[in-house]
Amino acid sequence: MKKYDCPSCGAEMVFHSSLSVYAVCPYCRSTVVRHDVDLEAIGTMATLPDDMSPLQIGTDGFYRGIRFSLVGRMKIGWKDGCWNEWFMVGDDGRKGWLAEAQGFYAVSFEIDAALDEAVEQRIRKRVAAFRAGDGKKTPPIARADLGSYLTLDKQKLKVVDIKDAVCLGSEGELPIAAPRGRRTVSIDLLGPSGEFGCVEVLNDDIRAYLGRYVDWDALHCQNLRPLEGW
Amino acid sequence: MVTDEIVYPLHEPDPIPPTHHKGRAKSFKCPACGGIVTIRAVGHSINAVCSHCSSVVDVANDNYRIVEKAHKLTRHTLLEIGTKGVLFGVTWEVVGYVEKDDGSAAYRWDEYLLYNPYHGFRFLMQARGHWNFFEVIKRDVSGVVLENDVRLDERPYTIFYRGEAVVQYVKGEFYWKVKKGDRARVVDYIAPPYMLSAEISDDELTLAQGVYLQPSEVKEAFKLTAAMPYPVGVAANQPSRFRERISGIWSIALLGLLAATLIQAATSITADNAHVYSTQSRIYAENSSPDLAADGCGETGSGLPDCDKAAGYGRNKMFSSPSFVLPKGSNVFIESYSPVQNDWVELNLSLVNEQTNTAYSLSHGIEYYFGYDADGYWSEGNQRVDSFISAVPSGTYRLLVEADSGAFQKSGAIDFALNVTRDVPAWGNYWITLLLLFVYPIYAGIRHMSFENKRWSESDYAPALYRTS
Repeated sequence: MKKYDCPSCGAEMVFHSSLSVYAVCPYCRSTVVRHDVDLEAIGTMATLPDDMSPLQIGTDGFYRGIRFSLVGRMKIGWKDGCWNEWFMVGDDGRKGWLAEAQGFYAVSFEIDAALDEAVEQRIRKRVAAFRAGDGKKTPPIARADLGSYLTLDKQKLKVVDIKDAVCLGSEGELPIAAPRGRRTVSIDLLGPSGEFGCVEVLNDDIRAYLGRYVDWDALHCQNLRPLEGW
Repeated sequence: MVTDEIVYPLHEPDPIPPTHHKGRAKSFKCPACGGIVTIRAVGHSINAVCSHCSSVVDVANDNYRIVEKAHKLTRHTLLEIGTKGVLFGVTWEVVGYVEKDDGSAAYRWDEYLLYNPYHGFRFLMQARGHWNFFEVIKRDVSGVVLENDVRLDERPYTIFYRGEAVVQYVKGEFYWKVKKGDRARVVDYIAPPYMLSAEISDDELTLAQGVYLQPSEVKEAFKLTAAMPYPVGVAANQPSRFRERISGIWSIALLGLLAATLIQAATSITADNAHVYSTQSRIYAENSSPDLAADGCGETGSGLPDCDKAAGYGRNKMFSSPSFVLPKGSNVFIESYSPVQNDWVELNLSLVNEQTNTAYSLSHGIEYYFGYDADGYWSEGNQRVDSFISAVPSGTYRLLVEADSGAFQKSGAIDFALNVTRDVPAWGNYWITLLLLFVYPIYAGIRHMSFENKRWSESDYAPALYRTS
């Protein structure tokens, strides 16, 4: 954990993770990037769109017995709505993401190892085809293959959707620069017992994440955001 | 590094960090009618139907674009938008309602969208008075849609329905784009009380797992006072009351069978099965005049015949056995035989205790007829009859026989034989026990079959057992 002063308003800014390179000041909403010793203010983040998320920065919970806390969030929009990507830091130092979409929760971790070359080629081809416009006329799902499969880190997962994703805003600290308007192609993957995979393509940069869907009760979250009427 | 970000002038620090604002429902002004519309699942809902004019509004952002304009009053539904209820220990708020049919209007159903900000969304379905609670599942279920048999959570599901679902009416808010006339393919699998439902729209396959709810559970959960729609027929995944019990019932019956058989075997083995008395004798008609001397029998003081040494003796259609002893309380088995041919004999038997004069009476009607007719040889009746007297106390007994017979008119006498045994293994109780043991299991089995028959009568995929026509 490292403490800084916001270069804009002087309020204290805490970086919980050494991986975090980007943050939004909770008081003045300045966006800052972290250099070796100091922070540089590069802009201001607009207020995030409202939601009924029970999560907030500072919420902690458990994943597979390890306590984690949420330190940052990106709000991502796509053509049919939006979802939250919470950046989480585990007590064991592990960094992951808690995706919150349509009432589902999925925890995932970036795959450190390089992707299999054949898999990477398939992803690039698929994304190129999507960008070229086949995303508008998705293949009829009734066809025999009902979607294709991708193997990530030895797990064979089904491709369930591919979509354009735009960052609508962010808060807290994040391991990536997450300004409003950051655009990626996002591929969601699903396994037979709730395994969750995600491939995020930013320009030519491919990042793959692997984890699983988790029930709300299993997360044992604390320090939740108050929700009126609930 | 960042080029597309708008830089605002710096402002004073906000005393509360933005994330610490409470989450709350929000409202907007309907762009079509100006009415105030509430959104409950803020951040999830992308379409909302105006509660005043029924226009569909895009609520994914604050632009509130009209998707479909309408000027209709909202329809009343059993569960109203905003109603809360507790199901499976979680409070759910009704946020949306969709009426769908199968495209032919022959089969229609209600889908209520339930929301809890922690647990997400569920669906409460009502069709023909039957209720189901559905949860969308994030699982890649092997073979789903394509195969007729799939597995989920080690549970085998079998195909029940393939068809279409067409949206006929919407109200409330939704985390997907809704519109009247939207069509989707539907594939339903069942493993009562569970159901696995696949919905295939343009670009998405959604799997939902449902569980059957009793109407009373829904009524109670949402504190409904209005009458619930009456359940018609058997729902696809309605659990059979009998199926749940049937294995238990049969286990009990089989245990009973085992116990009864063991008891029967034990009593059969330990039974004395002892011979007491037997005779072959003759009884004469009342008016015939038997030569007593010729039969070698004399009269006793009792006035009753007391003779079975000779081949036969009788008078006044009466016969009496000598005394015999039943050494302990037991059943007594009496067999009678008479070689009647196209005739009948009725033997009225009394087993009389000589000490107490207690009499056990029974009647053996022996009749045997035979002959030839157009169909050939026929026969009817039997020359043998037997019966039990149960629980006869120990003592000295004799057997009195009074006879009547058609033969008395013809030949004036009948021949008969008696055989008395005691402590005979009795099978009657055993068979009755068995019958009683299996009456309910068989009844339950039949009821179960008939229930399954009703269930499958609604499906094109009925197993051979329940297939009609």
